[in-house]
Amino acid sequence: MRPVVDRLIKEYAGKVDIRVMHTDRGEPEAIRLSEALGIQYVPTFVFVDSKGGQQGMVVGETPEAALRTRLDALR
Amino acid sequence: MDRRRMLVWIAVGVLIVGGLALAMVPRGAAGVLPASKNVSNSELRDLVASGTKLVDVRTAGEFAAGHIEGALNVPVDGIQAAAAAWDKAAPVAVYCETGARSLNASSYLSAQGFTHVYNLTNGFASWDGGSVAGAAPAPGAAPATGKPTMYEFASDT
Repeated sequence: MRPVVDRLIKEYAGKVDIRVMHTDRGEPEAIRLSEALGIQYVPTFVFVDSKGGQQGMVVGETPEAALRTRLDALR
Repeated sequence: MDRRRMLVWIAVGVLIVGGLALAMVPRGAAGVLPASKNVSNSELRDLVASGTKLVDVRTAGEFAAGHIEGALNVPVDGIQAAAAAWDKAAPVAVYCETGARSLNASSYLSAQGFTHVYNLTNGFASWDGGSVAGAAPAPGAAPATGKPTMYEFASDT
């Protein structure tokens, strides 16, 4: 998924903040968020609107088109 | 002031004080709300119908897979942050999958001074009503950044 996500980060810059959370690096924010959101598998994609509302979660390897559809729907 | 007038004023005072006291007691559609306790499915339905806030304390993933309609998703480890903004006099009902996590959540809320806290005894696993699927906002789980955000949870391996 890395090339896909890297491409999306560039394309959606300024529109959607795309953050990669490495849960196995001991990053505090990644651990807190993964626990709060109940993340059990990687990769998992979580979509959050500008007010902090969770708009969806996709677990597992995901087609780029499916990610784009959700990214385009985010406000 | 003669004795009769004094009695009239006392009666008026009692009515005013009594009315105010009744107005301050939280009520559901069927009357005064019960004290905090564990509740059955049917009791929960009545409470929610009367306006009790319903909180699902399971994880966002469990919530997305199916939850009681109208429930707010606040995973149990986020209850402290979320409840800080809630009205302690307003009734709140909590549930999880089996009733264990929500028992902890209800105990916490009661300890914080919430006056009407209800725990669905056997949890969502024994819920006999309808349910809906889909993720919902989980206050406090993901920070509001002011911009739409996609998080990818990944590992290096």
